[in-house]
Amino acid sequence: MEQAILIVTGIVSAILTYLVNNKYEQGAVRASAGLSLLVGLFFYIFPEIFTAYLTKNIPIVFIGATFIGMVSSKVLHNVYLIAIAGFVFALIYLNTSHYFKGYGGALGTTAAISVLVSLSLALVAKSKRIKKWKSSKFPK
Amino acid sequence: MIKIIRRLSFFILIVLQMVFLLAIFFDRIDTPIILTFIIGVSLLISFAYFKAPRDEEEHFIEDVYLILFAVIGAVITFYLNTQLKLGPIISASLVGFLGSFSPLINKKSEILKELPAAMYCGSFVGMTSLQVAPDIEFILFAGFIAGTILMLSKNIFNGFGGKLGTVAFGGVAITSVIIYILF
Repeated sequence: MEQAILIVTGIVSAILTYLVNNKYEQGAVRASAGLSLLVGLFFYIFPEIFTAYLTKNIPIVFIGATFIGMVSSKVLHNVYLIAIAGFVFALIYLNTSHYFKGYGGALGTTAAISVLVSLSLALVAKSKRIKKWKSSKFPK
Repeated sequence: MIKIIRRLSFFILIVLQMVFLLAIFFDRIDTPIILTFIIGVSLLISFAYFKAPRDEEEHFIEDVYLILFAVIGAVITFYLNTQLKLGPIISASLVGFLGSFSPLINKKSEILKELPAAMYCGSFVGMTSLQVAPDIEFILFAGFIAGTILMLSKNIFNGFGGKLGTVAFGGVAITSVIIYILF
C-alpha cells in the first residue's frame, strides 16, 4: 500500500510540475523547486500525519518526479507520457541500488532515465512499422 | 573541437545513466522481474539516445560562470541541509526557488538567465548526505565538476527533465571515485 502511494506521488508530481512549467509558463526551475518546497515544508511542519516511511519518502519521490515535469513540451508534449515517466521513476526509485544512497543527483538521473523511456515509447509509437502493423490489425 | 566536446559530454551522460542502471542490475541479480524491467529500460533509453530530438546551441566554452553558479548552489544547499538541518528537499528547493527569480533583477542580462538552472544543478550536489560528502571541500570539488559538465553539455539534452540531476550525479560520483583512488 505504501509503495502504491509512492507510485501515485511520482505520477502526480511529474504531471503537476509539467503543467506549472509549460501551461502556466513558470519555467522549469521554479515549477520544480516551488512545488517541492511546498511539499517539503508540509512534511517538515506535520511529520506525524503519515507513517514514518511515507513521511521520509513522499518528499523525496515528489522532488525527484518534479525533475520529469521540467521537460520541455517540445520534447514530450503528451501528459500521458509524463504520467508513464512518473510511474517508471517511482519503480526505479523503489529499487535504487544501495551503492548510490545519499548521492546528490541520483534522483535526477532516475528522472532522466524515466523521461528517456517515455520519449522512446513515443518514438516507437510514431514509427512507420508500428503504424503499418496497427492499420493491418485494426483497419478503419 | 565543438564536435569532440559535444560527443564527450554526450558520452559522459550516457555512461552515468548506464552505471546507475547497472548498479541496480547487480543489486537485484536474484530478482528476475526487476532484472527484466531494468533490461527493458536500458534498451528503451539506448533507442532514445540516438532518436531523440536535439536542441543544440552554438556557444558554450565561454560560459565559465556556470561553474561558479553551480558551486554557489551546492555550498548554500549543503549548509542549509547539514548545518541548519533543514533536510535535503527543503534546502535544494529553497535555493532553486529563490534562484528562479534572479532573471527578474535584470531582464536583459544573458548571464542571469542561466543562473537558475546552474544553481539548481549545484543544489542537487549539495543534497549529498554526510556519509558520502563528509566535508565542504568535497562539495566544492563536486560542485566544480558538475558545473564543468554542465558547461560542456550545454549543447545536448536541452529541455530534457533530469539532465541537471544527471550532471550533479556526475559531479558527486566522479569526486567519490577520485577520493577513493587517492586515499
